[in-house]
Amino acid sequence: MTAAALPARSSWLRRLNPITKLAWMIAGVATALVTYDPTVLAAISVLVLVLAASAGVASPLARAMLAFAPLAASILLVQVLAPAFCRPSCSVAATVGPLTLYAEGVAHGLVLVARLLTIELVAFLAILTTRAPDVLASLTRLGVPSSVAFAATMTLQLVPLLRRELRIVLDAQRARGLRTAGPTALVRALVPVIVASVERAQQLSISIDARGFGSSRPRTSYRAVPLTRGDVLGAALGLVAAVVGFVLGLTRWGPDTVTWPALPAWVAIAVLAVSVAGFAWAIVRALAFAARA
Amino acid sequence: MTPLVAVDGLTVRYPGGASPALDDVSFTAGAGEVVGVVGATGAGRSTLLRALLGIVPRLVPADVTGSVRVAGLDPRTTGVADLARVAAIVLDDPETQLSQLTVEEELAFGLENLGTQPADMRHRVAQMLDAAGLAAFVSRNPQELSGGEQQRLAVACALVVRPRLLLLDEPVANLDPRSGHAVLELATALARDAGATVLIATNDVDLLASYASRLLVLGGGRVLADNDAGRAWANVAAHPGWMAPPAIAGLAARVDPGAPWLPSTVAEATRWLGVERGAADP
Amino acid sequence: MTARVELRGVSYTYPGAPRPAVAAVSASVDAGEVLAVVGESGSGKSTLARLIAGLLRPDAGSVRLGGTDLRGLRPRDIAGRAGIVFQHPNHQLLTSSVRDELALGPRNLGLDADAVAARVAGTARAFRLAGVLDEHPYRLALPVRRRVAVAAIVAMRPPVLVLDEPTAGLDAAEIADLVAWIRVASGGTGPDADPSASAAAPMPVSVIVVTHDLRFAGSIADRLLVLRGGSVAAHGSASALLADVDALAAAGLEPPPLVRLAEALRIDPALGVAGPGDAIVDAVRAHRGAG
Repeated sequence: MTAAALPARSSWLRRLNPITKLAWMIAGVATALVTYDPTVLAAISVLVLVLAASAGVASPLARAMLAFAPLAASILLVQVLAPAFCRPSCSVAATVGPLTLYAEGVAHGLVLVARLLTIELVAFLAILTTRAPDVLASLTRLGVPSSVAFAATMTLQLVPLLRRELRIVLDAQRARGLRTAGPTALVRALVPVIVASVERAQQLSISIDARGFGSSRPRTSYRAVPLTRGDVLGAALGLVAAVVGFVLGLTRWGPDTVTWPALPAWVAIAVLAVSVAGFAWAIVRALAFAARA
Repeated sequence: MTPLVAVDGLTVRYPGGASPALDDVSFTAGAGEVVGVVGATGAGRSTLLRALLGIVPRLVPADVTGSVRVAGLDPRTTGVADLARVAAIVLDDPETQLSQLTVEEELAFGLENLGTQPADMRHRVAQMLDAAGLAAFVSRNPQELSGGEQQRLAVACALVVRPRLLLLDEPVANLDPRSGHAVLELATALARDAGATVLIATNDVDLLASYASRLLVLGGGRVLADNDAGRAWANVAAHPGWMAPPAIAGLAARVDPGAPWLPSTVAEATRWLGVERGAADP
Repeated sequence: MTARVELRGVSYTYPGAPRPAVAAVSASVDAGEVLAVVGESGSGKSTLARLIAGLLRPDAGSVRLGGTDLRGLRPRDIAGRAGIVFQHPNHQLLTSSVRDELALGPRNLGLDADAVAARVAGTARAFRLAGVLDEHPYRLALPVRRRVAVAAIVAMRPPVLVLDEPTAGLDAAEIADLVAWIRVASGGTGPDADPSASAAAPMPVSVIVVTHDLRFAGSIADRLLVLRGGSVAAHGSASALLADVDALAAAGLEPPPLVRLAEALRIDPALGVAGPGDAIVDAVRAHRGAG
């Protein structure tokens, strides 16, 4: 969640109460999780993209999806080459050398990828249009203890902090002639980072205590996130939609209820090619990252 | 008129410590004073400041005897929020003090803990942002600020709750001189406006010279001297084993051995040497 | 001489930064010399330290240690030629005992077990760590931890030693201690130099100290490199530059306290660089008598 990096443009989606957004996010994820019907998935995705465009976060959203390309490629590759199920038997779509591509496998892989992307689109739309402090303020308003909200705040700060510490420690290790690439180097660097984190946590707990945190007095909230009846109603509707979507997904949009048109051979081969390319690119990037470390 | 800070016979012993960290320390400080707490490493400066807030023994286990009163409250028995209303501390490392996602929320954090009304909070946060010169950073993540800016923020956070006692424990240890001056200038100026008492514990006695008119010199857990700065440094110069005085006071001690009062800033030194710039002496 | 450091037109920009952190910096340090790199916060001092230690590769220009361009060396080889000690000792304490900490570097340089043990013993003696060899580094007080961090690098006998803000958090006595160690490490002799400490540094090394404490710089440095906005604002003899109030002001720096006092009294500012020595005491007395 970005606390301050959002562009200044305001849209209704951004101003929408975080709790309401959270509820509808759950609705989208719950539905996509169990749905096999590509039409339903496409509908949800298109809706998300339209909302994203209206809120001005279309390009960050697209970039975030790119991060899932390696995962999508792996899923696709596995499903195309070795589908997990075949009932009663799978029809062959094409053969490429020694590899047999099954139509059901290709279809199944595409659906899995579609589900993954839909879930990520819904989740990231919520994340990109909500400021973390607002979420925490809303949760506190609902009665979540302030210590939980504080822990969540600290966790959000943790990743960039740890990354910075890790870089310094790796520099120090390199200065002592130690290798700084590979998993062993990372593990060895973790010790000073963890010790530093523990020490910082101890000092921080003393600091916040000295600032009155954790007293029995009722705590007020600086960031007033208004919670109107409309918001509560919207959130309730979102949760209802989550249940409805989940049930429909299980019953009406499951794998057995979806019929697939016969896939031409070239489609199967194209899918194989794309998934291999994506997978290879992911491996190359991982190796480059490991070598650079 | 009871003094704001009254310490009497304070002795602090950490578990496993060979000798006490503080040994029969007594002193008082009144409203509006700026007192420097100096001494070599291990003299007990940090321990003293932490005892004033009750951090020792509430959060850091130690055996504490003697009496401590801050605005009439005993830090050992007073509740967290009650003492936080009265006294605040700034530490040496901003990373151990800043935890929120934006600068304005960091400022509001202490006020939230004390149950301040939202309208009042907004007003005070806005006012402090201006006073501390941090208005440009209002929505930025505190982690993105420079070390000096972070310490100014830490000082602002301490003062926004309008404490009567402000404690600074090595506030400039990791800062360059310019940022150090900015931090101490901000702390003492805002405290003066609010009539608060300031205690500054630091190794950087050259920097401190411009801000503290009174010094508490500690050594081995004991109070070695408790005077206005000039006399305290004369005392220090007369006891080479205690600690090193500021450069200018050290020079003055060599120029005039045995002097009962030593200057520690350039301005004081020029006056002391009787060579006011531009002063015509007929 | 393998300890000579030469920077020629070194530039470096952090990825994504709008301006270079270091721009066309040229300087040199000879064996046995101590160079203090000073400048405002953000002037590029720490970046320059990392470039000299080989942790960063310059975008332009070259860093040569002992005549060899660092660009052609593997990280492991650089570690033997330049050692760097960072501001926060915790980041550099990688093992669970001071002994292991001192042994880590020499071992990685390929020394055999006997040689490593000799290095550990010699360095521990020179840095007064013999009593804490079996302690866990994190249990030690800050000044001792910093000594361990410096000692761990010195144990590798690098011809070039880089120290980044070594005085942060230290009191005056500890800083005086540090001054003595630096003199020992650089191969010079100070009045308090421990004769047995010569075992720690058999040959003179180049020492580069990044600091914002000009008083400390005055007590330790032979040469001064003043940075401003990533470029060299002044470069020369430390005693001359630290007394040059105008040059320092142009770089946003205030001279050490005694230099400022000397200037206010209109006596030679150079007298104030090294601390309250006889020369400045006499000059001040004379001035007082006359005033």
